[in-house]
Amino acid sequence: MTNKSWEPKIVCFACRWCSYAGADMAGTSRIQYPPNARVIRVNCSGRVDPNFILRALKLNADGVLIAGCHFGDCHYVSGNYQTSRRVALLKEYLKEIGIEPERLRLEWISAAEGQKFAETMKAFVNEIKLLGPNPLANGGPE
Amino acid sequence: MTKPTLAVETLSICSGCEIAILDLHQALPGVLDAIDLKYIQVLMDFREPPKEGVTVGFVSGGVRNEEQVELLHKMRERSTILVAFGACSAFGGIPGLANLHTKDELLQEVYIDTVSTVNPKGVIPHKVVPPLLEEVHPISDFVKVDYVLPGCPPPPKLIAELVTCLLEGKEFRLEPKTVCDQCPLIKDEKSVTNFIRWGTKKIDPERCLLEQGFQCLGPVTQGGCEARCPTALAPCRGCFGPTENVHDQAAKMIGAIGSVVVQDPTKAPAPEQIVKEIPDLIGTYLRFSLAASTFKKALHTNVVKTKKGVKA
Repeated sequence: MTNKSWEPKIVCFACRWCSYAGADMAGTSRIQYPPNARVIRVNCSGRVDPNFILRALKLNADGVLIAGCHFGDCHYVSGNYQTSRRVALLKEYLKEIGIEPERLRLEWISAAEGQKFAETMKAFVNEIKLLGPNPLANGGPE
Repeated sequence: MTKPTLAVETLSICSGCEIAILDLHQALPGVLDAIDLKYIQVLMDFREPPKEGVTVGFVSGGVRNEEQVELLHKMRERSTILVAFGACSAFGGIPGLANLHTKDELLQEVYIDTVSTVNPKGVIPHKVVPPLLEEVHPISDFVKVDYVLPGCPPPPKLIAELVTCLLEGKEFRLEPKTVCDQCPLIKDEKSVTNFIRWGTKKIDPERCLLEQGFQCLGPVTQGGCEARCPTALAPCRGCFGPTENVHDQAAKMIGAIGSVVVQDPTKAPAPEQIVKEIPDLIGTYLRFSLAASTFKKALHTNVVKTKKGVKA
């Protein structure tokens, strides 16, 4: 199914206090990274309802990246801890349902880590390229 | 004036929902005075719904084979009001868990691999019996449904309420509340440190079961049952399906699990530990609604299969 023109579609949920600012930092520092992500700003990584992630994958996103503050830095004290548990369980859900759990990735990126944001994006895009398109794309698996 | 008629069609189901109708007990004679029960397979010897003049059609059971698709369409054509009756017809129910496997895997397991099966020629029935569909469907995948009465089985009180509403020409709607809203147990502090299976620890009869670490699906399940399971200290299994705002019970439950764990990070269990403590995630969280969840079935991708093989 993979053709040369295929580029991974990535949905990135970035926390407003750290990672979104980190993405801004990557931009203002003019660090190059692949343009595959659609970045959605959320107030906290803990605000990302597991339904959002499943819905993104259902609508043919090839990967979902959740970026939040480092442990201890959460603006709402414990939002990122909650996310870490949810992502672990969601990966299990995806594995059982037959979607590669690697399509879901959780990273902690602070407002100062523009470089890390760019590198995470590069690594994730490469990983998704190896996995190929979402199994639901083109009417599901053969 | 002729009495309104009721027909009950049985698809892929255990017949528990029909028994629930009989469970109306003392309300049953009253219901039978008001309506004409034309067709119900557990009580009468008919194979097909009446040709015409069905006022209310109850369909219990999900759709598993081609014959059932046909029967379902007949029911829809012949009834004025169609009710999805029970968890199976509303969300696929427990038979919907078969969607984790392909049709061929299921046939292989049932007719060939099971230890108790004697089938030397390895014949899989294919004549006379109606062919299976690839997966289990809730009835709303095929026809328009007017009302949904979920439950496994639906509580007699709600059946009586539904029938009364329909007779009086009123709308029937379950309140958009969860099981937790109706549950009498005390919800206190979110302080779970580990999740346990039911029956492995003494239950505190006053406190919320989820906060004690049991897998109770109350927060993500449509209310209406008056929290009959948690009241009896059995965790909710989610038979009323998702509420209006919950699209996927498992996703919402994963969200809830993330936040019931104790907030202090030094006391909270590691995420990997929580994953281990919930052995059958889909079978627990989507026990009744896999066929109506986000993905509806397992995607049988080669990538994942080989990976699973390596891991196993």
